[in-house]
Amino acid sequence: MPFELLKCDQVIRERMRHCYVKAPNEDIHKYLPVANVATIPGSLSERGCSYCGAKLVIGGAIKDCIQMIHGPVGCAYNTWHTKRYISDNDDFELKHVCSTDMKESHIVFGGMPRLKKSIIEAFKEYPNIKRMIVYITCGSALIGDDIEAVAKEVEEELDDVDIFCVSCPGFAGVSQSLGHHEFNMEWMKHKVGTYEPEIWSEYTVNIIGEYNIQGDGFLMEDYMKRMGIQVIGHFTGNGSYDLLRAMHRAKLNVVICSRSAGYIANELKKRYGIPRLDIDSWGFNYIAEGIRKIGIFFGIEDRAEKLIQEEMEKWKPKLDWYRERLKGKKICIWTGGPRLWHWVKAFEDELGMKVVAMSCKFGHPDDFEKAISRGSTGTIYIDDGNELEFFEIIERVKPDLIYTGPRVGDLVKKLHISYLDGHGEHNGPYMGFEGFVNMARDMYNAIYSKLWKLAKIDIRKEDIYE
Amino acid sequence: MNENKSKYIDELYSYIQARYLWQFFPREWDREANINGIISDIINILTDNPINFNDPIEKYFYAEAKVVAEELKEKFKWINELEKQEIIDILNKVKEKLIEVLIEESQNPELKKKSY
Repeated sequence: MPFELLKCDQVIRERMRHCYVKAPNEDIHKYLPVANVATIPGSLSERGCSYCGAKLVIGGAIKDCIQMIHGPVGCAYNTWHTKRYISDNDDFELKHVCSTDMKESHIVFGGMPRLKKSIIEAFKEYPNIKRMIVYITCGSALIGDDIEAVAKEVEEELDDVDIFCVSCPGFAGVSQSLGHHEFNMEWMKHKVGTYEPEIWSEYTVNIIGEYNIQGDGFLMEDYMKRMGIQVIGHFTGNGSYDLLRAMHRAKLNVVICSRSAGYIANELKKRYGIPRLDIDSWGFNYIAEGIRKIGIFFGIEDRAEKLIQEEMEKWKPKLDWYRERLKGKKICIWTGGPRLWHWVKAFEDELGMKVVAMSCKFGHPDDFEKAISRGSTGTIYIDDGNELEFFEIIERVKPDLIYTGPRVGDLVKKLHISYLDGHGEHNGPYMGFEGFVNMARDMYNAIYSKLWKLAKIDIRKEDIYE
Repeated sequence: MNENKSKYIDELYSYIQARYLWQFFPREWDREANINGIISDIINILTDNPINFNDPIEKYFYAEAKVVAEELKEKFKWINELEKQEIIDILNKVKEKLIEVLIEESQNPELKKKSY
């Protein structure tokens, strides 16, 4: 039972290679879903674009720079408010975003003067901010606007500002994944190595691929601080523009989301010899293992063990309470890419749940290698799933809960199935010990909420007050 | 031990494959380096051989290996009963299987890309 053609896909038979059901004794060298390829015509994809990958996922979380989007105003709005990556800079990155608001005239006559005017205006509007990221979008890329030339001109004129340009037009690549790649590689090429940080610890790390969603990164930073470890670059949650220029000074790269940020960790390893340590940060076993490895690397295992013990004592009883109520519940994980493999064993081994279907929008083959290796037999693994497939899978696996994004989430809510935001993390943080308890609490509240039953009642026909 | 050897290899392979991220690095040269470096250190730890670090990458291998070795001793009690040579033989077979599945016969076309 390897690849499966779903009933709804009878007219798009190419989709078969994207849907796999794991059978006993099958290994990933026998069957691996096709991933990171162009969406098949006829399939209503949930994917985002390359610009979205660069801005919404990575650049937008940096706390102390102006975000300038060179394109129509919708590109700014649609990548602004949906990711809740907070910061200790009064959430500047969440409150403010700038757009050049390109119109037809700029497309016809060129948008570079408009961009230059906008950049200067923005720096005047925020006099304390001297850093900026400029993103190209579909329209400005198609007319060939040279954003780097404009940025260079402004840097020379204003003297005390630093600007980073990302060439991430929405049409590049097959999904938001190329935008992640572009940001990583361009940052490495143009910015890493251009700033020297103040070093206060002999133990230094970069935290890579962690976006401080609902404060995840604050927990990670707290763990590092309690072990006496200095975080230099936090790529990019609560990240500082200048400290991210200093990533070359860390002794270890701790990678969480390898899909969106593994690239820069690879380059730092190649160019500076800094090791890349991938960790899972959701689930008690995983986070303890990650902390332990960092402790061993620096020769401070005692500090790591003390931290683990303190956290376990504080949070384990709470997790046990939820485990009793969540075990046996069926769950789907339909997210972007890595959360499939980060979460599946944490849910199954630590909470006793059963992950019955996993889907990712922009995953690459290695994401499926990990997800299938960690996932159960009988579980459905799907790449770039579409709405009809989701309907069919829901009918088939009858989940108690679905972790997904707002797009599929609305569909799920209409079916009166418990839904949690797997991207924005409902009431996070979700990482670390405290975070995993929050996650269990959100799942408990979602599954046991009476609202889902009430929502099914047709109030035209039934008197709900009886 | 011979009658159990293949069972032991399968058990360790299945556990390692489902647990650790270092075997899934994005390119074949990374996977090969990690699998060789880390399994070699696991063998040294389990057979009480000294390990020297010459650079940060070797220190990283050791950090990964130490966690795996402790987990294996805890979860697979039979390891503690084996002779040193038996541990070496079994883990070398596990290594061969990881390389076969994750590199040589992998269906992941991105493993062979020249750049990141």
